[in-house]
Formats: sequence, structure tokens, C-alpha cells
Amino acid sequence: MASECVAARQWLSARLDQVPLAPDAEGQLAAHLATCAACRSFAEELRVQEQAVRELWVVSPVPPDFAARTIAALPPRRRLVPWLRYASVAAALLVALVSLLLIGGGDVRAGVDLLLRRVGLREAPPPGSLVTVPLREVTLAEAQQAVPWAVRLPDPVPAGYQLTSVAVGAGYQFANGPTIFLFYTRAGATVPQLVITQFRAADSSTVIAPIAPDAGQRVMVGTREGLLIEGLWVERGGAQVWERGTLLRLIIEDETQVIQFEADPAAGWDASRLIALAEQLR
Amino acid sequence: MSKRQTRRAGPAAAKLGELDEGELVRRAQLGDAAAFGVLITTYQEVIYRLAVRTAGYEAAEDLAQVAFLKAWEALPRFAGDAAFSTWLYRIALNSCYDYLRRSAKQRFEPLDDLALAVPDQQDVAAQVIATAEDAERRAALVAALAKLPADERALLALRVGEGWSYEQIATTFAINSATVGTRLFRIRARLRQLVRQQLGVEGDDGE
Repeated sequence: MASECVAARQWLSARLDQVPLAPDAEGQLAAHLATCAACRSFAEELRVQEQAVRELWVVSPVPPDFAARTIAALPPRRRLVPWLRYASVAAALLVALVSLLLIGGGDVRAGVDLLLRRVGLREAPPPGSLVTVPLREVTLAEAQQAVPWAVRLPDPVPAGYQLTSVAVGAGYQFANGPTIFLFYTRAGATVPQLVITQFRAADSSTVIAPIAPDAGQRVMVGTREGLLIEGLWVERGGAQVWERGTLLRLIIEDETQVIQFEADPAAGWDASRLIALAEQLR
Repeated sequence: MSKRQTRRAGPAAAKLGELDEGELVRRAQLGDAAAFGVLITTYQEVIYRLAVRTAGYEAAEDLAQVAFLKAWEALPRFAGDAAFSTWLYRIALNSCYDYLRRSAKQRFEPLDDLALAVPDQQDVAAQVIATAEDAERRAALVAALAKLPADERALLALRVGEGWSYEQIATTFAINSATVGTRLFRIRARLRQLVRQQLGVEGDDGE
């Protein structure tokens, strides 16, 4: 008796959900209800209750300005998973780049430990505040049209990666013309793990990036030299601290063109892999 | 140079409404607040309703907003292994649960094995339906719903309030879809019992 009632009541609940019962269950339920007044009244109670809940749960629309207020309340993306600052086409990557291109002109070579022709690294305190500039997402063809020099692409593309976004940014005092950003994303990932930026250096300029002690080194990329940087400055509570292990950067030069590779160590990038990639740039 | 702090004002903003959800999510992950705004507009009603039904009108608007803000902050870590909507619903539900826990408004009154009770007083139902005033019944139902565990209320809300399928509910709650029917049955039986208690109906078939 009890088990029949339990089964019948489960079926009654399922029927409220328009879940089709097996033909034999349908028959058994009908037969049981014919003989069990308690389950008949349960069925009626459940039906009434369901209707009452449905009526009670008619909800008036969300206030009309809800979306606007919520959008206005969105904080800028600051403290992300460190690597992901990159992915923010809006700001993050440029934070890294602009902090690299800090000092131009003057006697910048004095005290510079690692220097290519255009770019050098100096163990120094971080710059004042990090700067972000807007990026414009474009097609590769549009990016190429935006600059008089050839956009360089790795060939082949790293296995498992795709070029998922191309952007153009302007506004570096140091750069001569726009900077091109190539965002590469691993299959299945939602944010880029590899970013290649390139721009042409202004004539006779040199830029020095402040880095933490022992964060930079000179490496050979094919027959040329490059600068390898592990980590980046990030803002923490208003101060800038050097965060290690979250980012690997490699800077190479080709005449006046400066190319920076930025890759996520968590995605398996290390110095040798990044250097190998740089050697494949076409 | 240090003054040049800007956020992205994408030229594509005017066309955001034409983008599919995956692209909007991707852009929002990249920090595009306008793209996320489209997602807010898409989901605000269902998230708000879920918050109303799970945590009540009073807190619902704040909870819905909190859910979107949390989603915005967590979006870079959204791996895409669940649908964006599923992920968002889970954030909203957890916001509701957290709120209810904090405000101690959530009262668990487990009524074990009610569903397994054997009926014996068949006239009680008719009595409940026929004699209680509408307002009283409504108040009893409100009180009974408030006494349900928050996750049961939420599950019922998705089924009864939103008309979701068992599969949709199963995905959101990360449970087996076969379990959904059983849980709904137990929730309804529990709710019925709580309503009866509110109405002071004696001699329920469970006792």
C-alpha cells in the first residue's frame, strides 16, 4: 500500500512537469487513484498548490534602469589572474607595454645593464602610474594598412594556437606610428596566451624599461640578441610591485622595428620556446 | 602621458546587439563593458526573478546586481566548459545562498520522509482547500516557501517559475537529470506539509 502511494505521488509530481509516464505507469496510476482517496486528494492538493505557487511567483519586471546602473557599477578590471591582464585588449596589455617604454632621450645609456639598439632594461623602481591607451580591433589586412612596415607573423603559428584578434593602438610617445597587437589563443581557451606587439621606433630614440633586479637577461635569438624579462609591474593597493612567474616577455629588434613577445608561463611557455617562436617570425 | 587612462570605446559598440553570445562573452572577458552590458540586458530579468523567488523582493535587486558584478570580475576565469548562462545562474544562486546564510533568514526545517508517509485521512485536503481563506492560504504558502531550504526553493523556482526542463535544471545544479524529478517531488511534498503546519491542519497523512 505504502509503496504504491509513494510511486503514485511521484508520478503525480512528474505529471505536473509534463514528464510523460511510461504506459504501464500511466495505467497503474489510474488504477491506484481509483482505489485510493488519499492519493486522489493529494493529487488535488498538489495541483492547487502548484497553481498557487505559480501565481505567487509572478514577478514584476526588473526596474528599468537596472542594466544601466549595473553597467555603471562595473569596476575596471584591475586585479585579474595576472596573465589575464593581457587579455584585456582595452587596457591590460598596454599596461605592460607602456611600462616598458618609459624613458626616452637624454643620457639613458648610463647605468643601463641590458641594451639593444632601441630598447634597454634597467633595474630600477617602477614608473609612477601605469598608463593605458585604447585599442581598436581590426582585421589583419587593416592592421597592415595602418602601418608602412610589414607586420611580422610567426610561421608556422604555434601548434594548437590561432590568431584570434588583431588590434591597433596609438599614442606612444616613443613609437613612430601605431603599434600592432596580435593576440593568439590556444584551442579551447577563452583568453589569449600569446601576444605579439610590434611598432617602429622613432629615429634616434632609445627606451629603457624599469625592471626588478635579476628579472631581465640578454638572450640569443638566432644570430641576434634579445631581451628576456620574467614578470611585470602590477598595481597592488596603489603601489606597483614586480610580479614574477606570471608573464614571460621577449623583445627583439629588426632595424627600427621593435617586436615584443608576451606569453603565459602557465600555458607552457618558457624562454626556449619563446625564443624558438621569435626565430620563426616572418 | 600618465593622464591618458582610457577604457575601450569600441567602434563595434553599435553592432554589439548583433553579436552572438559567445562573441559577447569573449569581448566581455577582454574587458569590454559594453559587451557585458548586452549580456546583462539579456539575463537581467531571469536573474532578478530567480533572486526574488529564492531570496525575496527586498534583497533581489541588490543580489541580481551582485551576481552580475561577480560575474564581471570572474569572467576572465570563465573557462567556457559550461554555458555562460549556466555559469551565471550558479553565481546568482550562490549570491542568494550567501545572503540568506549571512542574514540568517534561511531556516531549515527538515521534514524527513514526509514523502514516504502513508495517507489515511483523505478528507483533510478538501478541508484545507475549501475552508481556509484565500489570504490565509496565500500567507501560509509564503511562509512555507520561506521555510524551504534555499536550494530547494531555487530548484522549484526554475521549474515552476521559469518552466525549465529537468535537463536545464540538472545542468544548472550539476546533478543528474533523473534526480531532478525526485527532488521536485520531495520539495512539493515538503511544501505541502509546511503549508499544512502553517494552517494548523491536524492529522496530516504523514503523522
